[in-house]
Amino acid sequence: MAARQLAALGLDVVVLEAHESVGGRTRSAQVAGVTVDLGGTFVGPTQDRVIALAAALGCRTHPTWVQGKSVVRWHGSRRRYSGTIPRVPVTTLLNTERVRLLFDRAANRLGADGMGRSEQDEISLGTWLTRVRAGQGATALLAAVARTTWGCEPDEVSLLHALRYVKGCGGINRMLDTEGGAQQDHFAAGAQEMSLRMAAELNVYTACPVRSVRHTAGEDVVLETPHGDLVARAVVVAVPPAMRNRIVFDPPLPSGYQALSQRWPQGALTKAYAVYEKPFWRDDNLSGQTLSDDGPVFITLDASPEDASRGALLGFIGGDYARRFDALPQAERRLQVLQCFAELFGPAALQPLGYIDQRWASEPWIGGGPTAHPGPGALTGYGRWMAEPVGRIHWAGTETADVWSGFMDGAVRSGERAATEVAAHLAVRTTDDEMAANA
Amino acid sequence: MTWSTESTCETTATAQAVWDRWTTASSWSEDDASCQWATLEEPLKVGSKGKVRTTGPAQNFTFTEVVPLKKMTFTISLPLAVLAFPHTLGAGSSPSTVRVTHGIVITGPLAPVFGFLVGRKLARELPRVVRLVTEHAVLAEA
Repeated sequence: MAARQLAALGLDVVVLEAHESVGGRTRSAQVAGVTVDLGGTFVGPTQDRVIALAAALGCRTHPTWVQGKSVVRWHGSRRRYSGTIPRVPVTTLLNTERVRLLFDRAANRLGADGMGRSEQDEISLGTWLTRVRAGQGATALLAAVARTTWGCEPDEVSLLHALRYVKGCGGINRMLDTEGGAQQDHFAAGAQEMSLRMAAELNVYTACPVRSVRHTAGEDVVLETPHGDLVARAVVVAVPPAMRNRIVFDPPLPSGYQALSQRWPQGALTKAYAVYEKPFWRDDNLSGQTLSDDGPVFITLDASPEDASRGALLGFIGGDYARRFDALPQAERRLQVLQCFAELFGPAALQPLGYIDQRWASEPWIGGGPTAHPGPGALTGYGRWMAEPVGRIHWAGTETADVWSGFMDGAVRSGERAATEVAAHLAVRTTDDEMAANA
Repeated sequence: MTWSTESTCETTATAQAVWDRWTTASSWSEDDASCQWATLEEPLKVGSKGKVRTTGPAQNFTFTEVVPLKKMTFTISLPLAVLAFPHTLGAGSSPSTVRVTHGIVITGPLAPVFGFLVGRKLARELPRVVRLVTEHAVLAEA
């Protein structure tokens, strides 16, 4: 996104992508003739920047299928329910709603800079759930939220980070809902199409990881790649914070930046798709949306094409479930996912036309997904270095966004912000150079 | 009176790998979060005894059924009830898979009481235990 914006200003921009294809944590694949999104998938209300980008690029979205009843598997039993409130025990529901209100209230009280009280960064989300007496049921529900949102268990993410993150999404409901929420729509041709279309207009080198960045104050930046060195007036680094340490900076970055990389680990989230002859669950008046208190698949959605020419179920596997699941051979992973789908939708789920899963924690240049889960102390200690430029080195990537961080919208916003920084930086330099030349 | 439940899953692990997992008592705590430790005091056969600690004091268990690569059952005596854990291995839906079933059977006059007090909690964890057994069996062969 930063490259597109800077190229539009007439600057000479080169994109160096470590992976074989562009898109970062958006990646689309074909399974039995169906386009599926292995990474970022959905967009929803208030995600204005990604929606605007998609519109500008001609990437069409369609609503996520929500008609029919949802299923909850709770304490071993399977129940159908209508609307957004799962059929779990009333005490669990009341307690969960109480915890949600407490959480949203604390998030809304954060300052304009998204920062709160330092003690909120001293504890994990899991500790906070214990302190507010969330109980077993509400804790299980919120653990599912943590696994999907950050790819971690509640004990692994700072409360303050969680509050800040949710505030940037406009609240828990906006973040989790399908209709009216972040899962409302998805891309007809896959979310990666946006990056592919942008790349077609840019000078892009794929499979070209930057090994080192040599930066000296007042001089151009030298990027070392397997294909040779590249000299640039400024650089935008758009990798997850934990991956910044994979690049050798010469001279080394100030210690705060190094500490940030060490303390901003990527989560573990795996997405699995099974594609069927048709969306058979719809015949049973099921929406394809499920929630489970046991894994490995604990949330599912209907990801079928708009014309329902095939059926596609998407399952999420996150946190500890993903860490175990990811270690298994492909045949066992497939079997586990299909058995989960069968428990939720019946034995027809055991016979897909195709299957695929994407283990983001195994991606060498990304290191995990969907985003990072800084633990207690990381945000107040090192968060200030997240997006602060170091000379001519600027930072982008969804983790650097204040709004919809962790989502595609946050990635787009971060690119726009970094482009603005670079343009301003280069304009100042150009003015300085001209003044020096005229002196 | 009898109270019972079971959980089944299919896996690509071999029957041998699952059997090894079942019959290595020292690994039970890795598969079952409620188990602190378990030991088998003599070679595995019908009548072999061991000890297992979950919550509360350690309990004695006895193998009542041992058919290598097919099934095994061990039991724990309770007041006016017997708690049995039958394990069975069967053919899967394809030649490369096996079906693994763990059960809980409580018999005796107080079976309904222990089913309510103990069985429900064990039943809730049963699918997770079966899955962990099969995952560890798969990984042992990888």
